[in-house]
Amino acid sequence: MAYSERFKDLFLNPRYAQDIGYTHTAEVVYPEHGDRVRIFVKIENYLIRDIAFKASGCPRVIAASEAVCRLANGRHIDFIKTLNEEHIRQEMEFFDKGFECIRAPLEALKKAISKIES
Amino acid sequence: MRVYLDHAATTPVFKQVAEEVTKVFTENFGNASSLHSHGQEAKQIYEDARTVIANFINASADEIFFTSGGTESDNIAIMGFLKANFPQGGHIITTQIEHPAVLEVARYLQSHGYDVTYLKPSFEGYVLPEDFEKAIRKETVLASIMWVNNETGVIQPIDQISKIARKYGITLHSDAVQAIGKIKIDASLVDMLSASGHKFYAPKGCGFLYVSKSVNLDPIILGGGHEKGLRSGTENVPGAHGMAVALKTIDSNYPDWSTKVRVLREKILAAISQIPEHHINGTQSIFSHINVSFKGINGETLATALDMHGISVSTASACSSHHKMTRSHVLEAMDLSDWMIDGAIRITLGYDNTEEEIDYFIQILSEQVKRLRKI
Repeated sequence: MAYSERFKDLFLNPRYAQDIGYTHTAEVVYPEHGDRVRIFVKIENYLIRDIAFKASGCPRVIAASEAVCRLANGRHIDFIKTLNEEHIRQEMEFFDKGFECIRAPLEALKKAISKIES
Repeated sequence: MRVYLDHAATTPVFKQVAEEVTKVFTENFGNASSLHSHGQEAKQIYEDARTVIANFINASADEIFFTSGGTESDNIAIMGFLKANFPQGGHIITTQIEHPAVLEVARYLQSHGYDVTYLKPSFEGYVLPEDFEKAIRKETVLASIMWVNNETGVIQPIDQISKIARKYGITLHSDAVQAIGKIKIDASLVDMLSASGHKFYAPKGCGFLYVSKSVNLDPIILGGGHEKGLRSGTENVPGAHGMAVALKTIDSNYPDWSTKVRVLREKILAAISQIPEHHINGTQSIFSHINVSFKGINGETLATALDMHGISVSTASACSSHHKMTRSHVLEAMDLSDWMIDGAIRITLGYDNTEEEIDYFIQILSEQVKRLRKI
């Protein structure tokens, strides 16, 4: 499969595959794809002050996790609620149809912040 | 640096083969069925190739039939044998680890009145001769057991299976696509044998089928009656010549080249042994194959990371756009743990690999396994 330079950067040099002191976390598993993502966020005043992920699975789920973290870090949780798969694909420069696994990290992030009311 | 470690998928054409084939394309281009001198020159090259190939596998020239490759050879062997001898049905024995070129034929036959037993391999990846013997029934008419598995490289016990098949009078076919050009093959152990040129440094689109003189086949492709009526279609003279030149080249360099590949494989295995929590999938593998899994890392992910560093290996378990995870039917049949199946990558060396390439591969492999395990 041919990947863009952007995708390669996300996959090979993820900055957010790290340990952080977090306030909220959630995990999403796509068992039929063999993918598992956990997102960790540190939230202060509705702002994502820090974010991290742990992922196992295909290259696309790792790149998508990094893309979600890069898009979300420093942003208000209301902004997170507006994010969708298309934004993630743009960030990844990955437009091949199908590959539902790309949705997993954003689902995990939204799940992590779901109980916070702004 | 670009490193090709997927020789079980296909091989580069040897330079001398490419030169010889080009000469046939441009100078000896006659139709081998034509009676004029252009045709007869081509015919001579074609028949010489048949003799070289026959000698290479301990067969006689009239037992070699040229085809377009492994899939066609497998189809002609199995379907042609049943069509000629047992058109009303019968029992067939094959294995769960065959290439789809055999498995899909077996499934087709199942839906057309034949009964098929699929032998399960051991955890180590080979079928047990005693299981083969136990599966034999009085209505068993054909067995198709591969010589070397394409994913694990595990050499199947063909010599023992051959003895059992002979004892019960069962016709034995073997898909030897991964074996030819790597290990010494004695075709007389079986009744039919399939081979594919592009797996042994010859061009794509050419292959051959060995059929023992004692076995009668009906054609499944009809036309001008080429290949003694078994496989109609204009003779692929460049392909046949390319296969002959490739096998001669391997034959004359085999001691040095096979030793080199064995040493490189040992070097890779030594490096892998330093990485914790890995599993080598299959034992008694051919000297060019390593199928390995690293716990916690998806095979496609590792293969992609290697590819982004210029290294080509393959993986049998992966997601595709509209399918969920597809898993290797071979590794599943071996009853390996989930992480071994989902994490497997196949590294297949070739005669063209160098020590420098393997040093680079080992370095990147170790780095990427370490990196991906942290994510």
